[in-house]
Amino acid sequence: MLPGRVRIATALLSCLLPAEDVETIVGDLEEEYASRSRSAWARAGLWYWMQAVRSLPILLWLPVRRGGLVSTAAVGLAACAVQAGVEVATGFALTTVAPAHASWPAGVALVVTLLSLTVVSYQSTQMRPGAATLIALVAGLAISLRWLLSSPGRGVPIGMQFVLLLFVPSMALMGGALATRFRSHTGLAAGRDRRRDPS
Amino acid sequence: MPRGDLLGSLEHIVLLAVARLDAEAYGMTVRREIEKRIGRDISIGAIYATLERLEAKGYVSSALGDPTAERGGRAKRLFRIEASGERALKVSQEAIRKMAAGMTRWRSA
Repeated sequence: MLPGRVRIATALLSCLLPAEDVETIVGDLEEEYASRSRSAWARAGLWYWMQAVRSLPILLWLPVRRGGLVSTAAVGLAACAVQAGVEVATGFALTTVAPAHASWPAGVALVVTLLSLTVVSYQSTQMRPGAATLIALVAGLAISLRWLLSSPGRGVPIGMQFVLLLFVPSMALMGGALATRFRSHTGLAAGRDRRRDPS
Repeated sequence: MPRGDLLGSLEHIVLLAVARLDAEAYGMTVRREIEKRIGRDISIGAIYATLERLEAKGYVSSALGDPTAERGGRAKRLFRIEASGERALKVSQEAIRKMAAGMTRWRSA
């Protein structure tokens, strides 16, 4: 059984990658970790984490390539447009309903953003595996752009910007991961394995 | 020679590792083989992305092996070089040999 420090990395990979990739890639990592930890367990843990961190961006991009870049990008961008529409409509509704100088609308807007992002990622991943990666990328770029274009001293504080930059794309990936789990459990992704099996 | 026949440097190295490992070629053994022979530490993600690209080109084929206890009950994905992969290797090796032929001056040893 894996120790806690590498179990988190395994959970991260298992959560975000398609089931068929988890089977082979996490299996490979566990096998190598078991071999390395016999001689140097501390370095083996560090090696495992380094492999997970270095591999994750490449592996998240794999479903985009499998699904076809153009069609996956089309689904991802359409999902981003829907999510932006929800965000704008929420903002408009909140400015109409909420009293001036109230602080709660910002919190409500954030919750709506995160939930809508998770839902659109989930739905678009059902259509095209890999769409969530593109949505996370667009969300990260949008936050960075908003940050760069906002005048200094105004807008969201810098610490909060970092939290948003980490948390918002993660929610998009989470939506995609939920859809991937659902696809695996319902056997929709099993066709790929069957095609690979020469027997 | 069509451009598609030439392998990228990582594709070339990974395909050579698959050919060397024969029936024992899967992600981690390919990674180990490359590290052992040329000292390059490549992430397992990059290895699988390259293997998948080679499979899409028809240079390698893959099949799931049996699950083992040391892998936490998970199966290996074993790769095998195909005839078109061997041809691609020969074409790339030949191209490099021809380009390097007669080179006597190198900027750094």
